Order: sequence, then C-alpha cells, then structure tokens
Amino acid sequence: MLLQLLLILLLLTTGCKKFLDQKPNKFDVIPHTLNDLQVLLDNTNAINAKGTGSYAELVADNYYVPASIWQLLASITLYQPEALNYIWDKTGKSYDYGWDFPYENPVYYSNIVLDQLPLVSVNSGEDQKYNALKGSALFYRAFAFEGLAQLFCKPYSTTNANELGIVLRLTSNVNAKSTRATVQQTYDQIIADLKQATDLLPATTSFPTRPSKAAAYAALARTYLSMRDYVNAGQYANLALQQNSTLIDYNTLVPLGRPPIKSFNPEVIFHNYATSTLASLLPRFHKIDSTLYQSYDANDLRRTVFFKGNTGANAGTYFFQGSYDGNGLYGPSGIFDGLTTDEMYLIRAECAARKGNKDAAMLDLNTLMIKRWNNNGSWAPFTAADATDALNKILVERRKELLFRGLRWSDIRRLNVEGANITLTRNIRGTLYTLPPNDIRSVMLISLGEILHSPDVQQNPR
Amino acid sequence: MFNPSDRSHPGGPKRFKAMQFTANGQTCSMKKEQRPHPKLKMLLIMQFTAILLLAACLQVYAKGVAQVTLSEKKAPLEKVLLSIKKQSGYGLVYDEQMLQRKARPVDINVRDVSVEQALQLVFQNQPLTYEIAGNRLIFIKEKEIPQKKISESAPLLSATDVHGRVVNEKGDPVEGVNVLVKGTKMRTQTNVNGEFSLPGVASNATLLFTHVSMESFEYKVQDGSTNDILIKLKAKITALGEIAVTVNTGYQKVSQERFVGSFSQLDSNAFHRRAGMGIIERLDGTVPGVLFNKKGTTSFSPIQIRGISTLGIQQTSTDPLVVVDNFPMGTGFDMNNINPNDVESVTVLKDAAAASIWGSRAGNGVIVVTTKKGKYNQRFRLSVSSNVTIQNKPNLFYYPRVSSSDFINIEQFLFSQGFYDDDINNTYTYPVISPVVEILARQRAGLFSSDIAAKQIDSLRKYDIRNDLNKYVYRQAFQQQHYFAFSGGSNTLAYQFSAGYNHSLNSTQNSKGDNQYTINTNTSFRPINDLEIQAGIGFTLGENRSYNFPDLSYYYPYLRLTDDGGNLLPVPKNYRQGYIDTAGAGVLLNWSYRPLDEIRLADIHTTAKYVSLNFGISYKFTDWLTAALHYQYQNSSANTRNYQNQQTWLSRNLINQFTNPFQTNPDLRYPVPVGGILDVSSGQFKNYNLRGTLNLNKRLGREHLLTVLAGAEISDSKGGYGSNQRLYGYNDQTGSYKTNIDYLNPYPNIYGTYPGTVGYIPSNNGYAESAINRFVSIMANASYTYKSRYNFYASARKDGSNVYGVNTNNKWKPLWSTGASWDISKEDFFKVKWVPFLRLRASHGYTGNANNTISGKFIISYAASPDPNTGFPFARAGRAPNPDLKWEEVKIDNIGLDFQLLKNRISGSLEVFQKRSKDVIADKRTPPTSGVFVFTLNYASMKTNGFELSLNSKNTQGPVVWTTNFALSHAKTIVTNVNTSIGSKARDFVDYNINAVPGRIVYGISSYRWAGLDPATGDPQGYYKGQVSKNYQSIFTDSVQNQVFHGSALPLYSAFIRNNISWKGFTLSVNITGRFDYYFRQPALTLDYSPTMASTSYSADYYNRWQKPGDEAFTNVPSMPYPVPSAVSQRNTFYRFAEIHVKRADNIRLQDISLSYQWNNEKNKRIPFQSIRFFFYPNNLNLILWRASGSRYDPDFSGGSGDGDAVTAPVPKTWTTGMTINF
Repeated sequence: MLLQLLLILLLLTTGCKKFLDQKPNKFDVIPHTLNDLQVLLDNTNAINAKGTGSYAELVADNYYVPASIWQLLASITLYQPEALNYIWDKTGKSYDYGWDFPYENPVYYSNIVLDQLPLVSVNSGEDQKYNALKGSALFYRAFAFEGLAQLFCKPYSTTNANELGIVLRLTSNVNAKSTRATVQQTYDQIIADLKQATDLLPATTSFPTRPSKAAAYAALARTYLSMRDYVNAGQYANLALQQNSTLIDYNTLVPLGRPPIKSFNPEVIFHNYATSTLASLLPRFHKIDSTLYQSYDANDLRRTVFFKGNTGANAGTYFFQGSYDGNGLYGPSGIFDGLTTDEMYLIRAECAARKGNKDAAMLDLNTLMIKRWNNNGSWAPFTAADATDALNKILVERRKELLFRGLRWSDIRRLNVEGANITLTRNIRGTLYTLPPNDIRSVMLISLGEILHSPDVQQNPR
Repeated sequence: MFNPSDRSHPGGPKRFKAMQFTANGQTCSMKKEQRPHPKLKMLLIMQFTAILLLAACLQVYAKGVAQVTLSEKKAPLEKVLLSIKKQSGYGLVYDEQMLQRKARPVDINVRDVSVEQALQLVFQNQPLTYEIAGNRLIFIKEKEIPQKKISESAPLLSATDVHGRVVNEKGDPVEGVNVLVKGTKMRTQTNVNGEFSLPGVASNATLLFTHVSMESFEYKVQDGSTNDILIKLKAKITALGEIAVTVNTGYQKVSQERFVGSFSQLDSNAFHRRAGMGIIERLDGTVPGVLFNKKGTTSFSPIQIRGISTLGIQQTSTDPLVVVDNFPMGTGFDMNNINPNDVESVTVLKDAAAASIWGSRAGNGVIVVTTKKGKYNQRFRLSVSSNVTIQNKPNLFYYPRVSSSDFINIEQFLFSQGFYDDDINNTYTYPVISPVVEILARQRAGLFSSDIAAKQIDSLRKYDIRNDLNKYVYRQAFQQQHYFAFSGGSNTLAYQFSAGYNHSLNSTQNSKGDNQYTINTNTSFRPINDLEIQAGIGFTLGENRSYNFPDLSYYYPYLRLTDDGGNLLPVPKNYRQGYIDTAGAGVLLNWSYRPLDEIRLADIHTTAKYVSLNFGISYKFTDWLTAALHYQYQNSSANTRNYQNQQTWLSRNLINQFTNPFQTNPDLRYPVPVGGILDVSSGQFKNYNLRGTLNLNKRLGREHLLTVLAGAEISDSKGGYGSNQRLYGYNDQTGSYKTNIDYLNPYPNIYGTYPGTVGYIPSNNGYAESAINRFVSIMANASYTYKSRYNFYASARKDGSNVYGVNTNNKWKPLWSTGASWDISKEDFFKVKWVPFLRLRASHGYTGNANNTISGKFIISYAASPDPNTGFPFARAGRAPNPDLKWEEVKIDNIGLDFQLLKNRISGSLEVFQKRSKDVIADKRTPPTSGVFVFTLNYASMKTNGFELSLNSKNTQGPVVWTTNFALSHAKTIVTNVNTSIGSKARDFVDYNINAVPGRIVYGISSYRWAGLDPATGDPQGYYKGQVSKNYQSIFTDSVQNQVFHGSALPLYSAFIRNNISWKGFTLSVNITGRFDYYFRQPALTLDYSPTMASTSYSADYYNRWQKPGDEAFTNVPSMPYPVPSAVSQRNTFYRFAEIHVKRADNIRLQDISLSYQWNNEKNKRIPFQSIRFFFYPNNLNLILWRASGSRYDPDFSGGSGDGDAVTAPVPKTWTTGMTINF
C-alpha cells in the first residue's frame, strides 16, 4: 500500500509539469509570430513619443521663460538640470531624459524586433509583413539616432567627421558594451538604415505612426539637410513629396478649433513627438520671442493659428498652440518632431535655391505660403531677386513655419557651420547668458546614468 | 483512541484495549458516543468519504476491514455478538453459561463500523471482555482480576496494567507527557488524547509524569481493578504562557521535546492578553527575534524575523509567510478576515529546521496561526467574550510649528518682497492664495485702507486649524468586539463553533462605522477507529462605511472650518477663492470646498466577504502509519459603491471643469453631466490548496522512535480580478444614469486647470485579472529519537512554480535542512541537581525566497486596451531576460540551549544563529543606451548574525505568584556583496531604506558632517576634503567615509521584560520594551520659502534661526534669507541630512499594562458559569522610560524622509476593557 501511495505521488509530480505550464499573466507572451513583434512597434507611447524635439527646443531660441519662473525651476532639484540647460550653463548638468528616452524605447524596441525577426515563425505570404516590420524597426532606430546626433555630437562636417558621435546601439542584448562611434559612422549608420528601410517599407500605412516609404525619404531628406548635403536632401525631399504633397489650407482652420491643428492631419508623413518633462515649455510658462512673433504678417494665418495671447498680468505675451501632435493628449508641452510635407517643401525649396534654381525654390515656397495666407485677397506671391535672396527668404519662412518642431536647434548648428553667426542669448533679471556660434556647449552633455554605467562612453567636453 | 506506542509492548495491546473498556469509570464522556449522532447528514458524508478513500487507494486493505451495523436496545449480549459474527464472518468463542450469568443488556446503534469498534462499544459496560485472536476469532472471557488476589498476598511480585488519561487544569488532554515507572526503564508518552498505557507495572510502583510545560506529578499505582486513572497536571508557570506543549509547523504538530528547530510561540493566554489588536501585531514586543518597524515610510515589510534575508527587488516578497492552520494565507487575502478571538496560538518559525518545511517561501520566516478547534473527549463548553477599545484622538500638536501669528508675519514679509506676485497675477490657473496674502493684495490694489487690512489680518492671528480639527473633526476611535463560541467533543466527534461581531468607529466625527461579522466552525469525526475526517468553514462579512478625513496640513495654520456662528466655511482647493466666487457666474456649480460637508456627504460602502472551506481526512493504516489529505478553498471578494452626489466636491469639480458655456446643447454644455457620480468596483481572489501527507510514527524497541512525514502539495491562486466602473449623472433616487458619455474625444477646459487646453472625461472603467500563481511542492522530513534524549532531524523539499518562460528544470528549487538535539539532563552522567533540564539543539539548512515574476526569456506584455489613437493592440517589452535567474536561497545555522534551573524556578533558552542569503535578486544598473535601466540578476548576498536569549522566572510562589519573562534579541544584517556602482557616496545612505552597499549594514543611515553655521551668513556648513565647505553638491557625492556613517536605522537589539503578578484571581502584567543600537533622524526646518501655504513647513525651529552674526554661537538652525539663494534646494537638503539631526534612538518604553481578574466557580453549582474574567488593557502607552539622547520626537515613529510634513505622531494610546465568561 505504501507503494500505491508513492505511485499516486509520482502521478502527481508528472501531472505538475502541465500544471506549472500555466502562464501567470494572460498578457505576457513570448513572441512567436510577426504579429507579436508588430504590437511592440505599435506601442505609440514608446515608439512615437520619445523624440528629441523637446530638448532641442529647450535650448533653442523660439521662446523665453520669465525670470521668476526660471528661478523657481532652478530652486527645485527636479527642474535644476532643465534650468541650467536653458542658460547653457558651463558647469552644467545633463538633462538625462534627452539622452535616455530615445534609447529606452525606439532604439531598444527596434533592436528587439530586429533580433527577434529571424527567430519567429513566418508563414508563407507574410513576406510583406516581414519586410514592413524590418523596415519599420530600421526606420525608428535611425530616426532616433538622427535626433540624438543633433544634440550629442558635433554637427556633421568634414572637419568633424572623426569627432565623437553618438552610441550606435545595434543589439537588444542588455549586457553588450556601449561605445561612441564617430560623427561619420553615426551618419553612415543612419543613412544606411534609412536607405534599407526605403526598400522594405510599404507605400502607405494606415496611420502615420507606422512609417511608410515617404517617411523614410523624408527622414533621409532631413538627415542630409543636417549634413548640409543639399543635393541628396533635395532629391529625397522630392521623393517624399512624390508620395505625399498634401498641404492644409490654414483658412480651413478658422475659426480655430481646440486645438487648432489636429493630430494625424494630412500634412503628417510620420507622427512623432517628444513626451516632455520640461516645465519651461508648458503653455503657462513659455513666452514666444517677441521679435519672432512680430515677424508674422497680419495676414499670415500662422500668427493666429500658432499663437495665443496670455491674459492678465502677462497680457501682450504669447504662447504656442500650433503643435502638430494635435489633440493635446500628450500634455501641453509635447513637442511634435515628426515629418511633414511642409518641411519637405521647405527642404526642396532650400536645396533648389542653394543649387541656384531660384524659380523652383520660390515655386515651392509659394505653394506652401499660399496655404498659410488669409484668402481675404491680401495674398501676393513671394518673390526673390536671386537665388541667395530666395535662400534667405526660405530660411526665414522655414523658421516661422517649423517652430516648436525641434528643428530650430539643428538649423542653428548647421547654419553656424556655414558661418551664419547666430548667437543665442538669455536674459534673466539683467544677467545675460550667451551661446556663441559653434560653442563647445552646443554639444549637450550625455546623461549621468550613461557616464556612470558605461565606462567606455566619454562625456562631451565643457 | 490508543497510543501507537502501546502496541509495541509485548504482552498484548489487545488485552489492554479490552481492559480499557471494562473499567472506564474515570475516563470521561464515554457514554456520549453511544448516542446516535443527530447530524445524520454529516455522518453520511463521513461514510461516503471513508468509502471513497478506501476504494481509491486501499483495496488491499479493504478485505481486512469488515464492517458491521448494529441497532439494538437492551438486547442480550449473545444476540449482539451473533449479529457481529454474521456480519463480519468472524469466528466467535464463548462460554454460554458465563454469558448468561454475567452479561448485561446492550444498547448500541452504529453503522458501518469496524468489528473492533463495535466490540469496544458492546463491551463497554460489560463485566466481560473480548480478545481477537489469530486473524478472525473473537474470544469472550471474564474480566480477569487475578492480580488483585496475588497482590494481596505478595505485592512485590504482582504486576498490573496501568492506563489512563492526562489532562490539564482545564480538562483538556495533554499530549506528550512522559510517563515513567520509577526505578525501572519503563516509560511511555501520552497520545494526542492524553491517553497512555503501561503494561505489567509492579503494583506498588510509582509513576512519574513529566512534561515540558507542566508540573511533574507522582502517582502511586493502586492495587486492583481501578487502574484506569485520570491525572490532572498543572501548567508549570500559569501566567507565563510562552512555554508550549507542541509546535505547530503548519504541517505537523511536534512535541517540543522532539523539535530541534527554533521557534517562539504566543499561546492562548499570551495571545489573548493583548486584546483589541490585529493578530500579527500581537507579536510586537512579546516574541524574541521578531522586530516591528514603525517608521512612517519605508520600502520594507513592517515585520522582520531575525533580520533581513532579501533586498526585496523585483517583487521578491519581503514579508514572512503567514500560515493559517494548514495552509499559507493566499495571495491577495487579508489577515483581518480572521477573527483574533478565534486564534488559539501564533507560532513563529525561525530557523531552517523549523521553517524549511515551507521551502522556497520561508526565507523571511514563517508565522503559523492556529485557530481554535474542538477536542475529543472534552465536555461541552460555551464561552462569551466582549471587549471595547477606545483610542485617543490623534495628537495634532506633536510636531511643533510656528504660531499662526508668526506665520502671518512671515507672509507679510514675503508679500512685501513680491514673493506672491506671480501667484497673485496668475490669471491663467488661479492658484490658491492664503487669506492674508489676499487681503494684502487688495490693500495694495487700493481696495482697502491699511487699517482695515491690518484689522482683518489681526483677527486671523488667533486661529489654529488644529483646534478646529480637534473640535469638529477628530474624536476618539472606538472599537468593540463581541464573540461567542462553543466547543466540545466525544470520543468520536469534536466540534467548535464561533461567531463574532466587531464594530469600529474611526477617529473622524460623523463618519459611519465599520462592521465585521465572522462565523467559524470546525468539526472532526472519527466514524471508525482509524479514520478521522475534519471539515471547517470560515465566513467573514465586512461592511465598511467609514470616511477618512483628508490631510489639511498643507494649508496655512489659521485655516478655519467654521465661522464663529458654526457655519461651514469654504477651504480653498485648487483655485483661488476669488476666482471660484466669480468664474462662470451663473454657469458653474458652486466650486467651494467644505471639508466638513464632505464627511456628511460621503456615501461609500464596501462589502467584503471571505469564505474559507477546509477539509481533511486521515486514515491510520496501522498504528504507525497514517495518511492524510487536506484541502482548502479560499475566496474573498469586495464590492465598493461610492456615490458622490452632486454636492460633493469631486462631482462639482469635474462638472465645472468641463462646463462649456458657449454651447447650448446640454450634452456639449455639460460633457460631464450635472448630477452625481457613482463609482462601483469589485474584486475577487480565489485560492486552492491540496496536500497529501504520509506520516510514519514507529517505535522500534524501547529506545528508538522514528517519525517520517512525506507529502506533496499543490496550490493554485487564480480567478482573481479587479474591476471598476464609473457612472456619470447618477441619480440615487431613480437609479438612472447617463450612458452616452464621450470618453474618446477631448473637450475644452474653459475653467479651472489649464483653461484653454482640452481634456478627456476620466472614464474610471477598468478590468484586470491578477496573476495566476501555482506552486507544486514535494517534501519529506524524518526525525529519529534515540533513548528519548537524542533527536535527529532532516528535511528536504522541492518547490516548483509556474514561472513563465523558464525551462521546466529551472522551475524547481530544492531545499533541505538537518538538525539534532541532545537532552543532556537525561544522561546518567549528568548529575547537576539544580539543573533539572538541559538540552542542546543545532540545525543547519536552507530556506528560500520565491519569485514568480521574473522570466528567463524575452517577454512582451499586451496592454489591456488598444491604442486610443490608432486602435491597434500594442504591447510593451518585458524586463530584460536573464535565463540564469534563480530563486534566492537563505542558509541558516542555529544553535540553541534550553534549560531549566533551580527546580524550574528559572527556565529559558539561548540561541545563536547565522543566516547567509545568496543569489539575492538585485538590480544591476545598466547604461541607458542598453534600453533598460536595470538588469535583474542574482548578484547580492547578505549575512545576518544574531542571538536570542529568553528567560522565564518564577520569583515567588504561594498566594502571590510573581513571574518574569525576559527576552533579548540581536540581529545584524550586512550586505556582503552587491553589484552596484552607486553606494559609496554619502547621499546614498541618507534615507530610511535598504541601502545595499557591500560591507554595510543593510539599513544603514549616514549624514553630512556638520561644521556649524557660517558666522557671516548663517549658511549651514559641512566638510569637504577636510575643509569647511559650502559646496553642498560635492559633499553629497563625497565618499561616505569622509562624512558620517552612523549605523543602523533599525534596532540591532530589542528586548522586553514582562512582569506578571497574580494574587487570588487578580493578575497584573506590565510589559516594558527596549530597542537599542540604532539611529533616527529628527525632522528639520525647511529652509525654503517655496511651499508658501504649508503650515508644517515652518517648524518651531524657525524661532531659533540664525538672524545676525553671533547667533551661530547658540544655534544650529541656519538663516532663512530672502530672496532665496539659487542653491536653496541643496542648502536645504544638506541641512536636513546633516549630522546634527541624527540621534541615537535607543529607548526603553512602557508598552502596555494588563490587569485582569478571574473568578473560577469551583463550588457554586447554581451559578451557570465556570469562570469569569475581566480585564483592562492600556496599550500603545509609548511612555519612554529612558532614551539615549534627548529629543522631543519618538524615535520609533520618526517619519521616513525626515521632512517636516512626514512627521508621524506615535500611534495614539488605546484602552481596552472586556470580559470573558466560560460556561
């Protein structure tokens, strides 16, 4: 009888194998199929929300923060790095999220997908899906790298080619070592990945959160522009516009909705924004640079669509409300830094002007501007005396069109390499802080966590 | 029924048994079992299960168990015997004449019992006896009493068989009593029913009864046939209570003598001494080795058993495993569902030999709660008890702060500096502005003259919100517990039933009360001799309606809740009162917040139900082998209905926030409809446990006793969920609500927070299932006792769980332990008279900390609902996979010495232990570029060394009995290894947290060296690189060696001494506790003006702040300059965490007093009850008798972060009084 009981025990233990195979949580899944990887990339809060735009905007010159607010922020430990970055403080503190967020999600998730793709089962007829997934992962990663490169390494130029680039993290293995590439390697990687993505990505996607061919072209155009490779930039902007050239007529936005511009609007080629922890960019704190505001013509609809006047004691100042991330779901400080058709028009126009093709340049500019102008009969096409004049006009409109897109910072660095001599200044209760062109401080400090835990990653000099 | 050990004696247990029933004059309640049991249904279940069990696994045995059914009244014995013969097929041998001459008529009514059982009953009152000879032959014979005759003539040579029962003072059987025939080597032990038998005892012999917790007793064997004796033993030290008879490990009950592990027990007396408290809390300050952490906020479990064995990373449990009766309290179940009155005892298992039977969940120690059960052979007993606890109001004045008048002065100063201008001019969000600032702003705007303003301001100076709170809000909390229980047992049935009602009113005036009803029943049957079936049901219903008043400490100190006429005043909330009063005139609902109104309007009702069903069956195959099966089902559910009618602030605020005056369509004008809001939520947990065990208990010869337990267990917690739903526009009169609420589209926020932006209507709807945790365990342990003085013990256990994404092999964790004990005092060579008992114990083994949440493979986790923008399902990446991840392992070594000295006047034990945790799960920080910030791996290791000394003494005997219990425990846990690149810096130790740094105390606390105040500015100064420095940032990141490392934030030593004095029925017991060798941080003044409204940010230290050069000579409180220096936050942090605020926390305090009077009704039969007990129990006295360093704060309750607002006052004193009547 003892034997029988032992037998029962034995049965019990063999039965347990199945018993213990029960998943603890229904929602936990070991990825087996392409679909399991697709859902990772469809996590828009991780993939499309970790842009570098808010950090880039923090240090750029589209806005200012009243001294009292700045002092308040500077006194709170949590906001101190932000306040010090605002004045490009030399002793500086890294604004850690600026570096950490893109690596945490878009880069890591993309690497997971790229690493898992060979391991999951692919049914016949799923080739397109497979390609789209691979292309998407390459795209998201490259897009994040491009954003990081604008902040954490020197602007691309032949002299800077061998300077320190960003960390090109290409594996999901947590234990792999991180090292900094060169500037050249950084851009080579971005361009190679995006080019590969153009072959893999589908022509259209159901939502602009998923990249399409046009998105890859547009990202290439933006990348080449920041590298000052105007030939390629123009070509890829053109390719992007061939896929999608829709522009919103701002007259249709009046009377203004709340918010004035919706997310996923027809101009958006790729939807991306930057979840921000930055208080400075909150609507109630930031104030638009008054010269910038004044530069908008009264009949320029962007003046009413983009800006809203403060009331009370702050009357006469304005805050920005024209974000392309639309519905305000992501908080008032989310900075849209995705890819849009208006940016492509401006890139193509700028490249044409730089090539000396004044007419093509002005045609593109006017195609855009007529959609921004009040149709009360005040519209007169922009004209230029020559290609240089065209270029200058285009650059002015570029700033006015693409503000709070995280692009101004990249433009300042790029143009300063060409000798534009843009000096940034902040004024806090009479104390002036300046950032001269090509200053060492226009390369941001890498996050403290990275420096502490990656012995091979070198901090940017100060 | 019979003691297994009896049968090992040659000479015939069977004869014995026969005798037992021939002379049962003194054994009680034998008659009861004859009666047909009224609970027929239960009997049927018993039989059914008996048959099931037999059929299922014991076919071999079945043929030996013939069953008989008898139903006779006053029948001749012969007839009954023939009926048995017919039904069983047994042979029958008897002398017809003898039967006719001597037999008495038989009353019997049994169904399907064994032959033996039937015979026992049949012969119960007969002058005849029977013997089953050979296989199936029943001999009937006259009861032989030859010994009697022989003893008369030659007493020295005669021998008799002695058997009997041993009971305690209450009449309950005592198991494990050693019965020794003096001058011989004959000995035995009483069984679970207190029964024993000794065959062939010389008729003039003396029996010696000894037991660990009972007074020894000598009994002279009487000649003749009355050798069925009832021995009543007295408990050794009556008021003591900590000496236990048996140790319940949750798997088995082991007599303390054979238990080699380390444990502490609160027995029934000690447990119920602390009436009016939670179950586990009663261990606080009463059990050595258990430490309660009372610090306001901390990342760790409040209960620690012998230090810390895990870092608690990634959901690794830091709590001890709580076992109620047979099974662990399931995940998600609340101990409060167990009525404390139902608890018999609480046992803490501390070392490997004690706890390793619980394997991979025992790493933090095990607490076994045993509930009351009926006992066999126990008379019917009814007890009623009732107690009332009153708790003082919270002490609002514990934290000293600046007076309202001085606060107003500060506000006036700050106003003059323009400090509030941004808020005053903020016409965007309209932040709250205090009344004084509002008055000053109006004065500045020319709305009043300065005289009127000053007058208005001065009128506010006399108010203190704490007075209002004391008057209008707080009251004494009140709790009452009523309980009634009855229990009893016959030879075949034991039952216990209890019902309890607990009612409590919290400390908020006008808050409704909470009710709890509990019912608990437990029954054991022995339908046939070798089969025991036990079933129990527990049911708890909780009805909670209490409302907790919100914390108002962040308001200005002169806040008022009512005006002089007693009318409720609005308290500013979220928005400036002026904005609320004017915004959206005529459109919005009144936006004022009146906290006292909220109490009145609160309509929250939680119904919680808890059901536990347990079922056990055990069958004795032979007298040394028993198999048992235990099953438990637990289900708890809770439903909350929270109706916030339209008058509640929550409803008004939401409605107002979304109100759009530009719309005329009511749906668009009020996207959140005007009306009440109903939140309903529900949740449920289910848990199943099943365990089979095989018990072997065999005496081999006289000197060897082998006990083996083997078992397997599965547990499954599943089906848990939580869901909640919100209904807008709910009308409580009609039950109607609005269905077309648009959660998907944003609506403009015209008023309130961030006007001009858009927001979504909060849906509050959700559903989530809790994780399914499954465990499978197989375990075995064996103990071997030689000469009843050497015990050897070994156990092994293997646990498996449903960790996801791990290979089957890695789902299992094997653990083992071993131990031995040596009863030195039983050795012949040990002749120290004043040490009657001395025992040495040692154990070594492993327990573990299971973690079911960590996967070895890469996992994605699907989100519950799709992305709101795209509608796509999405997932997030799981934790970085680590295929090598294991469960934590804790190695424990323990050596203990148990002793009794000076005729048991002093008893106690000394234990020394060492714990080594390895494979402790720790998070390795990884670079952000890796995509994750931490990587979980088995990296850390820890070690704990400690000792426990407990002493119990009986200081006086006689009319006044004075006893003392003393215990001193020490546990020090050091992190021996951890992979972290932080932790060498001074700032890493400033919080009350697990600060895991190699070589340091796990709860280490550090501070910054203090160099006094800067004589010129009053700035706080520290040291950096040996120099006086104000470079705070550098000081924070300085190596901790250069700053101050104080030591542990938790006591390394804890002690208690409890004196009990009893005289006649009175008992006074005073418990004094001490905690030593640790540090606490006193709250410091916030040097920052930024939280402008909060009255708590200005502690009374403000008065002592540095104001002019020279002040530094007599104050350490820095200056508070305005405008605030840019580094104010570092300046503040430095000061707060500076050396001067860390104090030695050692203290001795009077914890509680218990005064009781018990009257035992021994003579008066007309009074229906047996005893009555009254008690008065003041607890949480927290009267500090001695402290190592002066401080106005109680070191054990000093808040977590050291912030002014985190200061928690000690738990208010409670006063409990009650009474128990036993019928």
